[in-house]
Amino acid sequence: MAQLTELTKEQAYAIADSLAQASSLVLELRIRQRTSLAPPDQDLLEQYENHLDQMVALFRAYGISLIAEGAEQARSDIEGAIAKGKAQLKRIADVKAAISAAAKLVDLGAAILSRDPFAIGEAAASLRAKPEKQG
Amino acid sequence: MQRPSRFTIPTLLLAGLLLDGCTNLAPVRTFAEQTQKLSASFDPMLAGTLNSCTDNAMRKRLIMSNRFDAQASEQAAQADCLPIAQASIPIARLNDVLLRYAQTLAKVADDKLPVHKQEFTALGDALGGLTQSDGDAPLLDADKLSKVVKLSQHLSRLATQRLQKSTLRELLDEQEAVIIVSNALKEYAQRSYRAGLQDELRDLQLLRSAVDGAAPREPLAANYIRTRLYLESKQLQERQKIVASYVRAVDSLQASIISLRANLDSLQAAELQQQLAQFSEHIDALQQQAVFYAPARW
Repeated sequence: MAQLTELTKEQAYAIADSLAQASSLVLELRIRQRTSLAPPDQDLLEQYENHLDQMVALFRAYGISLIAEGAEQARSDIEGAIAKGKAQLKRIADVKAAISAAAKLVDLGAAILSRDPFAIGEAAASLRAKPEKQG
Repeated sequence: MQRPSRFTIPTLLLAGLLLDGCTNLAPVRTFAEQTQKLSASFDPMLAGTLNSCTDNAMRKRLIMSNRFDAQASEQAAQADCLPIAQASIPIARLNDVLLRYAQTLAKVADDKLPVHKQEFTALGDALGGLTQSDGDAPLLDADKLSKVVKLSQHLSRLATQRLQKSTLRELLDEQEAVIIVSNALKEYAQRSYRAGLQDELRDLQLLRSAVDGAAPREPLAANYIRTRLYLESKQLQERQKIVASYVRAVDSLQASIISLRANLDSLQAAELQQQLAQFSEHIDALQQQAVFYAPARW
């Protein structure tokens, strides 16, 4: 396929379209000559047509991969932006977690000030239950 | 808050309330929602391009082969069309990244993100429970406590909104990449998907005359196949219109993201609203046309 790499997208698609039209011409010929052609000749024409169709698929596929290649850098740029956006969403979620943690810290502080061992234990357990996240 | 003497709690509350009105991210959500629909309407094109290749091969063999073997024909058609299936995988990834981009935009533009009411209520309760060291008197009286909690709510809301805005700006800064990716999808629709449909339509026309030739000998089979071919060609013509609708919708997407980025600080701008309304219209039209992705029915 070395020579294919010289082709542009436009050329690949133009070649595929010409081959597809050629395949249709062979099909038309087979239909028209159906009764007059000997079975071996009919088979031969069918093989030509199949071969042309395979070539159409190859050139179309090549054109498709060139389209994808052209957008690959842009795709990875967007991937990067999505990852950054997700990290920021996490930061926003962490604000919520930090406020909740602050409330629990206040509870713990109050419990320590009250010198009530049972309240201290309860408040400490609640704080541990949902540890503060790191941004 | 370094100079509390000048910024009293009531003025800060007022400032917070005024600033709240400036941030309505609904246009971002509209854009994100329509872009997700666009991505969903592209997906069937990938399978469709492959199906055009295999269906056309099957149709030709069914009508023209002297010794037709359904299973062998199907296998041969799939093998011949395999390169198209493989080449389409990176295109599917392009469509997928567009979808996830839109989903991320929608999440960042979520109205509920800057609301921390529940969290602050818990903090308020905790603070309200504090007593002065000498006895039962609360450390903060109810009035002061409610002001502190409300102020904290507003300040954190503002901070989150600023974070949302800067995240949206970063995402929208990728507009050039979004345009490149959506152009690639548009090109796939115009060159690959449509080319497959055109091959099918051209050969289908030829096959009709082959069936006509067989009609005197096998009228029932000929009638059946003729009807199928008629229905399938109608369906193929409608599918070609999907391409036109898709192209219009992509053009709208591109104009919308440019307008959205330019107006991120003035999201209520009439120009942006009009652009988004047009984008939504084109997506509606695309979705209506997309029913013809389905196989032809009697």
